[in-house]
Amino acid sequence: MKRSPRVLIVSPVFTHPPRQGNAARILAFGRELKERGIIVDMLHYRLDNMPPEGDAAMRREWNAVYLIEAMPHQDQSHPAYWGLDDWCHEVVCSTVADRTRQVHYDAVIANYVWMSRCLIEARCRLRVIDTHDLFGDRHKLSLHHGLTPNWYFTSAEEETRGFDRADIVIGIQSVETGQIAARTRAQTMTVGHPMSPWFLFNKDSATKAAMFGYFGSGNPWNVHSILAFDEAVARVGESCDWAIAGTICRSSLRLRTYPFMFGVVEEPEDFYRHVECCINPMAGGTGLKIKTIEAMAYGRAVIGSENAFEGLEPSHALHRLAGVDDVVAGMRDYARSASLRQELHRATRRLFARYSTATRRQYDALAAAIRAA
Amino acid sequence: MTMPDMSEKVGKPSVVSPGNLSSSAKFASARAERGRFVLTCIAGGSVDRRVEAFVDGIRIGSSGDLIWADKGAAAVINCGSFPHVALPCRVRFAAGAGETDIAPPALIRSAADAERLVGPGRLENVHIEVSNGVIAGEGINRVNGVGKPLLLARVNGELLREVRPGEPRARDEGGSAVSFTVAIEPADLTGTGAHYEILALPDMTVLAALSFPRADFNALTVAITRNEASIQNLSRRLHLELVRAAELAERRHTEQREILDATIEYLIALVYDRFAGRNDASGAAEQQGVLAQFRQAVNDAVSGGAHDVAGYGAVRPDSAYFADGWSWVEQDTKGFDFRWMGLGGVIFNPQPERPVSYVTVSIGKTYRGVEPDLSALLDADAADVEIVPSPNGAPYTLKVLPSPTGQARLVQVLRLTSTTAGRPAEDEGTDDQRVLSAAVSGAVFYYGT
Repeated sequence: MKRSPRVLIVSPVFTHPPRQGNAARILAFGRELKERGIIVDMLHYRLDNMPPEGDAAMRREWNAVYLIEAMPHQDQSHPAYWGLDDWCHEVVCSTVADRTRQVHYDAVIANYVWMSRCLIEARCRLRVIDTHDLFGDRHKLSLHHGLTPNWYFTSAEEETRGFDRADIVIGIQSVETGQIAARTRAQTMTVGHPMSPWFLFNKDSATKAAMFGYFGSGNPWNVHSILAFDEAVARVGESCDWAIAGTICRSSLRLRTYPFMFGVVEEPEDFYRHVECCINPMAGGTGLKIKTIEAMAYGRAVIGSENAFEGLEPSHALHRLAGVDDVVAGMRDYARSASLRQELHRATRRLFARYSTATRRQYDALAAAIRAA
Repeated sequence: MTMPDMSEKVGKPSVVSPGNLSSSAKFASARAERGRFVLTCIAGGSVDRRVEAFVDGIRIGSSGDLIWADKGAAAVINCGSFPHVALPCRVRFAAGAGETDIAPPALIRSAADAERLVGPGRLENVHIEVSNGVIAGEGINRVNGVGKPLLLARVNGELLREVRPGEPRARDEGGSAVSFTVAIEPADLTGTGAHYEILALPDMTVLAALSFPRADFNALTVAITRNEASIQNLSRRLHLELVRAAELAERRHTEQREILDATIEYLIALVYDRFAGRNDASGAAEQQGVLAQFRQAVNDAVSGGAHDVAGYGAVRPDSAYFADGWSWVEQDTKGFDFRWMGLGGVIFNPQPERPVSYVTVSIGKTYRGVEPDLSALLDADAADVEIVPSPNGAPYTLKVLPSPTGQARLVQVLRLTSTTAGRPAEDEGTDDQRVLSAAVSGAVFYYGT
């Protein structure tokens, strides 16, 4: 009988409960591989504070789970940025080496380039990095937008060194995959973030808290974007019926307008059902804007900036707006025109369908590569 | 002794453009002065553009353009700000892209060290408002991210009052944000109103002021606008919470109903499996006992929770509520499920805790192709049976009503008996030994009071 392929996913993020975008990404990624008949083991390096229920839930989800307690980061190797391996402790590498000696793995998949050190001693045929995001010169990008660099940031050279440790480097969206491909000798592929079409099996609510809604975490890019958007709304001087939800509500936002503060919700559905249209006026940042995809998956029409739809290849004008002022103008048009509402709704559904189909194919290709290994 | 300032280009002229050099100059430990670090060169060499100072990768200062440093020369790194970071921390010095240290790091042990370097900073963009019976405010310190501001409040231009600052919080844009509160006392309100000022020590600069004059239409307009928005938000929240609560209750109820239905189906199947083939009296008694306990448990559970608002309970042929007397599930030419009944058949009421007004039974065909001739019992009581126009296209629909009053009553079991039946093996010479009377495609119990 033919043996099922088996992979070891190395993650510095717990997958259960998937409270953050990166956790949801790793969970969905693993499930897609499972659906394609691949056995998935998980090595969790506990850099985050996993809630007590997470451990049991992860053990139910994955074939095997190995936990490594967090170790302090190494001192920052470079004065101006983190070294490639500063966050990946030796114990992670030795555990991966040990596990891959004892179990036959077809592939080891490291999440984030800064965990790529664990691939060096891994005994397997295929070494994969799921990048999530680009971290090379991220600090420069932050400074360009007037933000203090935070979390992990490194130089482009360091990041490229990490890419070169893998056989396959995964970009979460096509624009970033192109940038990675230009820098590494490894094979590259885009593997997006799959999301179920919730709108197909969940009833919408007739009661809306507001016509427009924004849902986001309190990360600096989101806060920066929402403050700029609020300014733009205030400049127009017309009342704007918008709501705001997610952990961004805890960011002590000092807004000039008066959105309905939805707060932090237990389930995203709770928010999406109660707004008609979602906005994403993202002004920068890297990676895939998972909140854009999530809003589409919940059946909301979405109005957003080019950056919010990066990698999704949208065609509708309200999915490719240049800045916050255009987003505000787009919202005004949407509110005034029933035909535009219908048109945007259809365009958003079409975009989501296209994206979902493409993403399934991307996972098929990844699974095929693992099998071929 | 004064040291040469290397903020300007010093030393040997070079044809190499800034940015293309790797740095070869080395510097001794930095000396911290107010607003700057001074580095003394101990090994002359090239410098890639300028020397910069970093804390946790955050740039806090820079020298002027610099491409070469001679031994003994000094480089001055002007530091205009200090970020919100954990203390103690190291200030590191690098040139170019910041790849390597060109001098030993300097240690910042405490907030006092940071203040000696960049000063206390100043709260800016200070915003104050009345919130929960106190004056609450927040300001931004762009210069010193670890310093706690020294503030004082002045009430009505005279009285000084304590300001309680919170811990500084990191700002995404650099520096820190600091919240603070000032108490409000009844005596503050005088005949001309009340006036509060937030002052920065030591120079008593006014950072923000808030007045409550007797008539200030602008302030009044702003306050009314804000209050209207707050009330609107509260109203929306209340409405939304009600809707969400109702939706949640509906969802929970549906889930509960599904669980209960599945449990009933499962348990009835279990009970019948367990007692199948046992005809002795003790078996029958045990069966009745188990069923009674089970119904009681269901009744208790249902009476403690929400009731189904649906006015009927439909029983499909593949359901376990089709109990004794039925053949296996078959499909007619249109793909609909049905079961042949023998001389008699039993169907359980799916919601025995609710009074039954009547029951309808859909019959697709009869064995001899004649109009069905059935009698019915609701539990042990005879019921009226009539053939009525079919609502669902079935050739015959029987309506079974409690007798004699026709009033709704509690019913656990419907028992049907046919006066006509036959055996295909005898009538048609086939292998089918079953006794068949009517092909039933479903029953519906209608509830009422």
